[in-house]
Amino acid sequence: MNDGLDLRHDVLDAQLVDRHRENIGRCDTVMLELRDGRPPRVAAILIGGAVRDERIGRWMQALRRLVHRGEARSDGVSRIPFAAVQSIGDTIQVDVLRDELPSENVERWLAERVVCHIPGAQRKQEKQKR
Amino acid sequence: MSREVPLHHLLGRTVRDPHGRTVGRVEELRAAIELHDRGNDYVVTEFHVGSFGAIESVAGPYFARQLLHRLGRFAPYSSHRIPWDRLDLTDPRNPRSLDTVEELTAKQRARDQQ
Repeated sequence: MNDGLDLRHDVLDAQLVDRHRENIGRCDTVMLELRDGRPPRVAAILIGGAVRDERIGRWMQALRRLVHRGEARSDGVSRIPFAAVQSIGDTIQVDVLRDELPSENVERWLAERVVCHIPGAQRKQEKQKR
Repeated sequence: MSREVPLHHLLGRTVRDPHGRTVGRVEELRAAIELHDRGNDYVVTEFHVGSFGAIESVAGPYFARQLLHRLGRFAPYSSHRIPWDRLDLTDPRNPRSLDTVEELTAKQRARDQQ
């Protein structure tokens, strides 16, 4: 890791990979902890869910509310502590596992309900499992 | 007491000086490693504030900064680096510089001459 980091240029919207170098999405925002008399600490990286919708715009937030109307489901935001960042380069590698992230719920749902019905997808999934 | 604020809530915000004059918009946050007993953390060391914030964010910081710097003779472009302890983030949606525009300009000029 370099000494200096430009949070917007180097971190925001950067591709994130887990400890097995599998893509886990882009950095939708960085949480800064504002502390009295001390410099703001880079606390965590957030991916997906309501955070992404907020950056896209109000129409996306409204669409999300409409889709999840009456449902008490999690907001689908993955919070990764910045201490879990292992390296920053073309991609940012973090010490987490893709399957444990709430932001992967949509991907999992699509894989199980939609993608697996596409001819040839089953074989690819089997290959990935191997 | 501490509280959290998302980075995208700060970016693009207009920074004003103690007299209420516009300094520019938050373009970039520079972070560095802070070592302590329990390990280390990245902490924000300075805020880059520029008068053409939106253009810089679209064109990319390095290209745009160089281009706007050259255009500065024709267009009044200015950018400032504000240390973390000189920017009041009590209300993150209305950041306030503790230095006036003149003081920030003088500091920037001194840095450019070095």
